[in-house]
Amino acid sequence: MDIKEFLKEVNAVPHVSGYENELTDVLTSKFSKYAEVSVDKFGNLVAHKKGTGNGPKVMLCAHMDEIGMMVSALCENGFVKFTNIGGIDKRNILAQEVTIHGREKVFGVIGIKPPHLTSSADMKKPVSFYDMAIDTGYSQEKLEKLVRPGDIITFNQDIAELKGGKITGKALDNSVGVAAMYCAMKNLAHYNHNADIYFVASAQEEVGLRGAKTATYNIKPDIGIAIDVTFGRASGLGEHESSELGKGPSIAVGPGQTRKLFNALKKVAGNNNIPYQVDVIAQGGGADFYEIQIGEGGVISILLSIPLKYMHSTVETAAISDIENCGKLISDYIISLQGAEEGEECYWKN
Amino acid sequence: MLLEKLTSACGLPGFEDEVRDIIKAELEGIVDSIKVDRIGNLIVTKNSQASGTHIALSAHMDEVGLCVKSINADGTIKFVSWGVDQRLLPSMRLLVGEKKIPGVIGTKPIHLQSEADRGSVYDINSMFIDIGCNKKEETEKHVSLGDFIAFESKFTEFGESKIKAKALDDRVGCAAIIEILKMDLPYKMTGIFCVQEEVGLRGSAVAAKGLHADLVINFEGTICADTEGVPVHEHVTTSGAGPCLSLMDRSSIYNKKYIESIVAVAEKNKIPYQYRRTAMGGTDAGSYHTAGAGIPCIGIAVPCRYIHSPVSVMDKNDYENLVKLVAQYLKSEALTK
Repeated sequence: MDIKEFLKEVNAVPHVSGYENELTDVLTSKFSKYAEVSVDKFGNLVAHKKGTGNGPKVMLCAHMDEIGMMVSALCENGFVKFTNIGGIDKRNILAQEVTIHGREKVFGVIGIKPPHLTSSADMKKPVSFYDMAIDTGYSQEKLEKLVRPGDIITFNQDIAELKGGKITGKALDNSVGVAAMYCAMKNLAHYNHNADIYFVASAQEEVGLRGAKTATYNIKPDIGIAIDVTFGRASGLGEHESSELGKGPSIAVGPGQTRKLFNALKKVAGNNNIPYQVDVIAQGGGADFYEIQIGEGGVISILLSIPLKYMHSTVETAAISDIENCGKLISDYIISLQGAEEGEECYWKN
Repeated sequence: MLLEKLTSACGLPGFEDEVRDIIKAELEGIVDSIKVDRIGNLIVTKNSQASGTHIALSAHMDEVGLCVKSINADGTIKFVSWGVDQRLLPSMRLLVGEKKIPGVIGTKPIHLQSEADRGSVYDINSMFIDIGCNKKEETEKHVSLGDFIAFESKFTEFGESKIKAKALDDRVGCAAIIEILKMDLPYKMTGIFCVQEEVGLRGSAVAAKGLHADLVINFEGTICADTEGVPVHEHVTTSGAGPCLSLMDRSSIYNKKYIESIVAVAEKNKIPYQYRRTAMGGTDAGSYHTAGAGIPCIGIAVPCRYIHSPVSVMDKNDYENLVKLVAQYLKSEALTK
């Protein structure tokens, strides 16, 4: 599968939390070749691929929403004030380019007062969201016809290739997770698995894991696997808080993650020569996993992650091989469930 | 479009080759002579046999950016910058060296930041550029110490009449001179495209020596702070209000007689203009106005918001009016008196 191409297609449409519909359309056209696709009441995209029976009901879940912004006010001379949607670092968005999704798509840049007009004390303080404005190049009069408070804003950043099999861009959190899930879907295309699989591209993860909550309620899975990103190691981040790019997906372990599922995934990785890392999470809360785990009477569940450098920026960086290996780990795990329908191996049964 | 071609090229101080080649190609067959001096300035002449007033037109080819200082064990690159506001660097996409290797300046994820982190600005000394390599030896295959690092930014037209690009300072000046040299104007003219303005007017220091012009018109992209939240007395210039004429800056005080003569032409021809309302900054006029016995200078510029950043913004009308004003000035009687 051409992962870079897939990521470019995802990147080409806005998919800010709560406004994922354009991406839902893109994914529907792709997923429906492999599974029966529907969009639930909340906005989650669910692709159901039936099993041959007797297997567990498995919910794979990768959130499809991206962080972004929203117009809060229009000012004089075509400047737009905004507020964030999801966790944005105010210190890394100056001089970035954006699109305001108004009645038309409006290009803009996040400007800044020149340094020579800024006091040395202010130069040492981050500019707050309230003091930033987007320059649209329009007069206020014309802008009012195009843009209204409440319009969604996305960052403009295309996907680019770096050395060493890496890619960089915005919203790789979590387009890389969706890509890994899509890899698994393709790997399983011609395979008659016993497991009943629900591929979920969930909505509104970035604002509070909301889509995963409703999807888990609807699907009532036996096993849940959330696919997201984890902190990629970069200067300033230690081994204890990050995973290395290119060394395979991270399998989470900790009090929340079902230990038997953790062991099963490690075994599958070992048997199939899939590189992996272990992400120890003592206490978390920031991924769909945490809603899946406690949904519907409790779900046997785990978090798989793709290491991502510079998370929540327009220069997020990931390794293509980690996405492929994450997809392979998932599909090989599904295949491993074959024949395991009774006894000790059926840890999803009570 | 000429300005798109010029701003898409990379020309860091000392590495202006790509820009110089574009200008040369534009002016082949248009001018009488083209030469490159020992520091790298491109100097052209037109109507070189004409007698009377000799006008020099000057702009600089270089742009601000970064430079590779060292390579870390983990393959990332440490850098120095010329005139770039460090608050803009986080999440910037860059092009490293002549091969233009893509790189990014990444930062600590917001999830892992402490309260203290969030209350401070990123320090340039703690930043690094990631080109994707994990090891120093791998990075060294693509990057060498001293390589220039340019902003990556696509020329974009937006809004009613705005352009966003990198290096508008001073490719707007280069573009304007090229357009003027292509016109049929009577004077003996020398076009000077300087190197290394951004690191202290180095190119013009050389070009000014031996220049026997009666007037230098220096073309620039200049500060414009007419943005949201900035009080009007700090705007310096206004985007869309016409080309701006310099009165003074840190490098020179511009000749009042010539300022008045070009203002008269603007008013007569109803071409909008404005003054540059600060004494800060500096231009190559600093080199010319004390060269030899002193050459009077006019400083004219296009206002550029977010100057020295990847997203500089200018108004197309300001550029067009700048070219129009200088052309009218060179057609007027003002210089023959």
